[in-house]
Amino acid sequence: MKMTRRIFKAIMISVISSLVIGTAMAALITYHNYDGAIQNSLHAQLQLASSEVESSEDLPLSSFRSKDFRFTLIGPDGSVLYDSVADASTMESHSTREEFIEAQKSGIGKSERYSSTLSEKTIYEAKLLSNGSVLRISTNQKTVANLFLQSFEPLLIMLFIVILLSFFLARRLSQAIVGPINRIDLAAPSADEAYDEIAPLISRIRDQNSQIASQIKTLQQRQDEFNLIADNMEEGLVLLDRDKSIISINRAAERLFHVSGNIRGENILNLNRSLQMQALIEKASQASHCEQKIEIDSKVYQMDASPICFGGKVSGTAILILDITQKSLAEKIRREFSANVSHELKTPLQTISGSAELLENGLVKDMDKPLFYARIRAEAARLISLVNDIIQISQLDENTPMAFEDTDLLDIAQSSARSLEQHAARNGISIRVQGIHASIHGVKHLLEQLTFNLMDNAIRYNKPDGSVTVTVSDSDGKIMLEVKDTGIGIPKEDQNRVFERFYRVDKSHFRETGGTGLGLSIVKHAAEYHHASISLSSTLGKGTAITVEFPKSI
Amino acid sequence: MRNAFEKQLSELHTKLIEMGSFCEEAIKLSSQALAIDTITLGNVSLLKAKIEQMEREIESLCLKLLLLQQPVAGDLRQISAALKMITDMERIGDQADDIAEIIGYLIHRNERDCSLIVEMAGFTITMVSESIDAFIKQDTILAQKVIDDDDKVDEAFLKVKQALIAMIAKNPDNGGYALDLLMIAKHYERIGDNAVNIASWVVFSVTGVHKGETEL
Repeated sequence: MKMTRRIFKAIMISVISSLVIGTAMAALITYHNYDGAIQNSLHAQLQLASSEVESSEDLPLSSFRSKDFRFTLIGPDGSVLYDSVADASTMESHSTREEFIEAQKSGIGKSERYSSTLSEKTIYEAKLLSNGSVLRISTNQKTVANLFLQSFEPLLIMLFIVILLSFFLARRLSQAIVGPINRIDLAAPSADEAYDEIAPLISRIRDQNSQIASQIKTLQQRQDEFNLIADNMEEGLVLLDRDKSIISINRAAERLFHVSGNIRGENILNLNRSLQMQALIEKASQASHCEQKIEIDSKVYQMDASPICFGGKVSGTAILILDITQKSLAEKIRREFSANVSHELKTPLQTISGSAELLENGLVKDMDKPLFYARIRAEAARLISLVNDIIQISQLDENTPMAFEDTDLLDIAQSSARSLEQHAARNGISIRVQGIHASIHGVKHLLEQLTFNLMDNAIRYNKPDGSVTVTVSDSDGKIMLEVKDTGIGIPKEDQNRVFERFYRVDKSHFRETGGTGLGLSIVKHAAEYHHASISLSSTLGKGTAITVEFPKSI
Repeated sequence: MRNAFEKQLSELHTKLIEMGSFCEEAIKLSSQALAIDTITLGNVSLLKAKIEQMEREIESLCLKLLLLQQPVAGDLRQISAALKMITDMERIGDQADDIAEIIGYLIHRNERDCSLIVEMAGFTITMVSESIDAFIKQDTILAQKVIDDDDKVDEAFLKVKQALIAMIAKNPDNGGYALDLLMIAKHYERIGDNAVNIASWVVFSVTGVHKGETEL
């Protein structure tokens, strides 16, 4: 509904109705006055005529000719004696006429009669004369309808002009009224500009404007805060709406899905369409929390999808993405470790149990018995050394604090060489320990383990008539322990993995060489415990050199 | 009105992506089965059934859109391209299922004999993935790359063929086995062609020019 039109309508209606009513009232009043004047003049004429007739007995009635009035003299019996318009002899008796009867009765009679077309009415007035006859005067008068009809055309023209005029005026007026309201600046309304009546409304709008502005500002701040937090998160965060389109995605997730620019509103499947992802989102859209591991670019991500419920209905999904590559790798190593450990423990036990069973059942010849005892002992010894190694390594894993003391690396190397002398001699390998006395603040038995294991490996994987050289040196503020052999060497592709637990370069022949498979792993841990770094250089078939670099100040 | 249409169009887009991902998974599973084991073979026929169901769904959605919305220009191209693409996707699902079926018979296959085919399968998987990527991003350059990559698959197919011929020449008893392997290779080659078709429909839906046509 338009205000201008409404005002315009109201003005027009009041103009037209007042015009119509005013005209009608004026017409009625005028007619009424006109009617009265005619009756008065009729009465005066009648009095005049009657007194004339009365005073002179034989006055020629023909002198009463008038353009406006008609005189009729009616005898006492009702016969027309004279008429100023028509021939009296042809006229019928007037004895039944209303005004005649009334005049005979009360001296004066009046009546009105309308013509057949209603366009004229005739007014009669009759007076009883002294001789018993009645003098009647009459005149024709136009009726209201006739009057109206006659003045219809000018009236219509006038009405039309007035309405036209008022149409334009009303339009201008209504526009002028509405103008100030239209001109109100809703962004910054001022109460002075418009009408006083709407001033409260305007001040209310102004208040609400400022309220809305401050609320928007607060919201914006919150949004910014959220974005800042989300963008600086290490984890990826993606918010989806009900149609699985992206509402918000933080920087980490953008990096992860290799997207940039504005991707809000795009479907999540545009980023990743793997079946796991589909399953994840499908489940979350059914209002249940869901986790899924998804591999992207050979990295493992854990995706947690939580439904966002609003009023009991799922209105979106929040996906949190964690990089669990390291974790799942560690898990894999741990799984492999337990599998390896059980396998390594089981093999000697089976030999022991088998040999013991044979002995128990007396299936072994007496001369073979020492062989069996020796085997049981050897396997038991192997088991013990394995368990020792495992204990050692789990201690290192636990990072239990151990007592640090000043230890001489060369002394340790020499004592390790002494304990390995026999073992080396059996394989025809010579050990040489050289270098300077260098003191390290460290855990003595760990350092012993480290040196022993390195040298043990150097002997174990050596060639017949080979040699092992251990050098302790001090350079650049660092103490170096180098164990160099002339052995079989380590293939390049295995060099990174030899420090893993139970990792064997030659998987098929390790039983012949012995060892637990944990040696280098212990070395690595012991070195890490002392913040030392290990470097390995090896040429296949020529030999291996492992260098442990200790920082002087631990 | 337009809003509802937009919504249905994006639904069509999403469904096509879903169907594409099923296809990818199906051929991935088939090639894994070829390279490693046959455990996952059952899943391929499940995926095939899913792909067929999706084809019908997308088909009816496309027809509904065509009838009720009477799209023009880009929208019409998108919908008609979708109608064509699902046929190719369905074919991919079928081929993967056929491959899985043949693998089921080849229990005593030799890893070395399969290595060339596995390599070839790797090419086709990349092609299918890239053709769907091209569809998602409406990327004509990537689509063109897929179309060009078909040569690689054809080349690989020829290599497989030569190797199998040599194998039969060495030991005629291996004839049936070699033919089965050739069938698998042929299926992968066909999948490569399907990927090319998908890519060329992507080009059509973006530019309005289908392969082989010159711009008017």
